[in-house]
Amino acid sequence: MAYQFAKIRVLVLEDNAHMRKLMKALLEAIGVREVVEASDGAAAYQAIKQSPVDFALVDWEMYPVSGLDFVRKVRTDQDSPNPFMPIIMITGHTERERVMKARDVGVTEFLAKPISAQSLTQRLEEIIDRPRPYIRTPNYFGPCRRRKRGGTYLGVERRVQH
Amino acid sequence: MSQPGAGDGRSFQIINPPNTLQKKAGSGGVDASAVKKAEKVFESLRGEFETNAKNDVAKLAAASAALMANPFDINRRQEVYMLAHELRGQGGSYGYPLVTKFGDQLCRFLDATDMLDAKGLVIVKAAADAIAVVINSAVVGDGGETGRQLGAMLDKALAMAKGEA
Repeated sequence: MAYQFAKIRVLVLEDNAHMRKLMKALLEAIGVREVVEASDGAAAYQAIKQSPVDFALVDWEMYPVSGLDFVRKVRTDQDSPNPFMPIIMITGHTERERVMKARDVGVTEFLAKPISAQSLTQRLEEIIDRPRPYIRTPNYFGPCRRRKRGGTYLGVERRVQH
Repeated sequence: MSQPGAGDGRSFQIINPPNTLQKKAGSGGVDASAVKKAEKVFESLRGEFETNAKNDVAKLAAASAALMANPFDINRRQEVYMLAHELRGQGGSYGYPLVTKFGDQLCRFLDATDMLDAKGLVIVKAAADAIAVVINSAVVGDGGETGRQLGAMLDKALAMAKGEA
C-alpha cells in the first residue's frame, strides 16, 4: 500500500508566488489536503506555532526572514513547536559551500531546482522511510549530518566514541 | 530514545524521535498514479511559467543594460543575479533546460567575479541575450542547432574572460 497523505499537513515557505502555487499543486496531486503557505520566514514560524505541520518545504532566499533563518528558529528556539520537524530545503544554490551552510543549521534534505515530480517524491521517501537520527552537540542540533547508508565516512573522526 | 556522548567539549547526544510522519502516512512509497498526476501539474502551469519568464527576461535585459552603463551598480548586479537565479530554478521544470543552463552559467560567473570588467560585461549580455532567445522563441529541450549556437556563443565569452580564447 502506498503513502496516504490525507492527514498530512505541510508548510510551503516560498516567496515566489508561482513556485508556491507549483509546490501546493504538486502536494495536492499526491493527496495532501492541507497546505499552509507562507512567503517569509517570520510568517511561516507564526503559522506553525499556531497549528503545527508534519513537514516543511522551504526555499532559501527571501526577505526579511530567510528560509535558512526559519530552519534555525525551528531547530533552536525555546518556543519551537517541533524542533524535530523534517525540513526539505528547495534551492537553486547547489554550490558546496551553500549546501554545507544549510546542512549546518539543520536542514533535513535538499531538493535542487529545477524540481520534478520524481525528485520531490524521492525526497518525501527519504523523510518518511529513512529519517535520520538527531544529534545534539554544544554547537549543533539537527538531523545527523552524515549519511547513514554505506557507512563510508572518510573524513577526520571528531566525535568522541564510547 | 537518546544516547549520551562524552562529557567534554566534543560531547554529543543521539536522539531518535518517534517517526510520526510515517505513522500518519504509512509506507510503500508514493503511488505511481499520484506521481503521474504530479507530472501533469507542470503541463498545466507551463503557460503561466512562460508568461512570467517573458516578463523576467525583459527585466533581465533592462538590468543588464543598466549594468553595462554602470558596472559598479551593486543593486543592478544583484537584480541581474536574482533574475538569472529564478530563471535557472524554474526553466528545467517546464521543458526549458537551456534557461537553467545559461542562468546557471551567469550566476556562477557572478559568484566567482568581484569586479566586472569589459569581458565580464560581455558575458552578462551574452547570457541575458541567450536566455531571452530561448524564452521568446520557445526553444524547448536542447534547442537543436539554435541551442548549440547559443551555448557556443556563451561558452566563447566565458573562455575569453578566462583568457582561454
